[in-house]
Amino acid sequence: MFLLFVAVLVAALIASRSVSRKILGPIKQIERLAKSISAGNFKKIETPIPKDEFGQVINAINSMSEELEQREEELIQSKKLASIGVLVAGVAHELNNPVNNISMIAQTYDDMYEKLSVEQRIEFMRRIDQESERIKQIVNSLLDFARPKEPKLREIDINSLILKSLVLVQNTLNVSSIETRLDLAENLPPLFVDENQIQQVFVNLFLNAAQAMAIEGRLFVSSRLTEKEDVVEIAIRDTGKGIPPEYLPHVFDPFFSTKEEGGTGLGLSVSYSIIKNHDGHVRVESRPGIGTTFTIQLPVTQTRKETNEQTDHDH
Amino acid sequence: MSKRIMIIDDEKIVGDMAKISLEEEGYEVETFLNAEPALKRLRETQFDVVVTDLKMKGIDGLEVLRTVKKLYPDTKVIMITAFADLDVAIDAIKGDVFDFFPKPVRIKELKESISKAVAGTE
Repeated sequence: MFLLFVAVLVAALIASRSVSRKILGPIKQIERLAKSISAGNFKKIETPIPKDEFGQVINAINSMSEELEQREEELIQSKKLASIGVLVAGVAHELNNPVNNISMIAQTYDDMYEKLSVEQRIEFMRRIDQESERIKQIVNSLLDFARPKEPKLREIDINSLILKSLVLVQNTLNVSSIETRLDLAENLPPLFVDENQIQQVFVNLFLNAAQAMAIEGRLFVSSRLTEKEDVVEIAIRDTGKGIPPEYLPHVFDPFFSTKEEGGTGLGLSVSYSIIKNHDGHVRVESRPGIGTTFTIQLPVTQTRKETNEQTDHDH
Repeated sequence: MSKRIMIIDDEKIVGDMAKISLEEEGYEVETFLNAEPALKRLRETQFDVVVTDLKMKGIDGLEVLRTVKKLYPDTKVIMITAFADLDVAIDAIKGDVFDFFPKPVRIKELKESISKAVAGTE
């Protein structure tokens, strides 16, 4: 009797292992695949597909995975093209004005040469030169946007960089009688950034702030270390006209401009790219009639030693 | 009596250059960088032709066209623009624009168009 019992137990154990392999095995595979597809990894189950109901499910999921991957590629491509379309149209329109200016000056110089004074002729050439500079800046902005340069990282003190950038825009601020108020935290850890690029970002945001404010506005610049001590936050706030809430999500889009500003319309897009390239974040908050705040976050790099090893490795 | 031409364009060079050529032809020319002061001036005096850019900060060219036509139906409006969209051109033609020049502008063509425009206001 006992032997029979043991025999049945052993048979049951063997049977359950086979059930496990036949049912739980495929279920586990399908579960893993579903999770991987959700994460955007469009894998497929390649192992020999059983010829039962599980096999049907696996085939269905495999073909779904393939379709999803294709659709995602098409979507990304079409978004890229739309983006390029906006960019190209924007640049073409931007270039039209300085080109027209040069053209009209040249036509007038040609048609009216004898009737112009020497001073006028020289003035014309000077203005053509200025318009060429303008074209050069538009082209450079475009290149900056298209191919953000690899940041050349150096250890810098972010407060010094803020002050240096303010000096560059001082004239513009003075012309509009804009008062600057600073609240820069002491003893901030040094940051590893590309000094020129981050300076470009600061200058861009200061100038935007100045343009948003008519006369006698206030520009607030602050810096601090976040509680987790892994991020330095720099806030640039103006008391200008602000940005309507429906425009806020588009503020960093290329050529998104209310045409109220001068400039190429690429400034904020380029700034956004630069900060992203530094593994940072930038966000904007605004209240129409009250003001706008741009907040930049830059990571504090772990240890000097780690980064030195990294730099050596890159060479 | 000289014919009076008004030019509105936020690119200063456009007004400056057009003025030189047009004054040479004997026109009286006034130039403006924005539509607001230009329209204010229009309310003081009539002009024979108004040449305006389409896209400017604040009031744009289409609004200038509408206002001019309301004030002085006989005044011709010529539009120039860096942003040459077909839809915009259609709007302008519907709004009764006399002529339409995408940038870059050939000054000779602008002069010819203006001379046809003033011929109509005799």
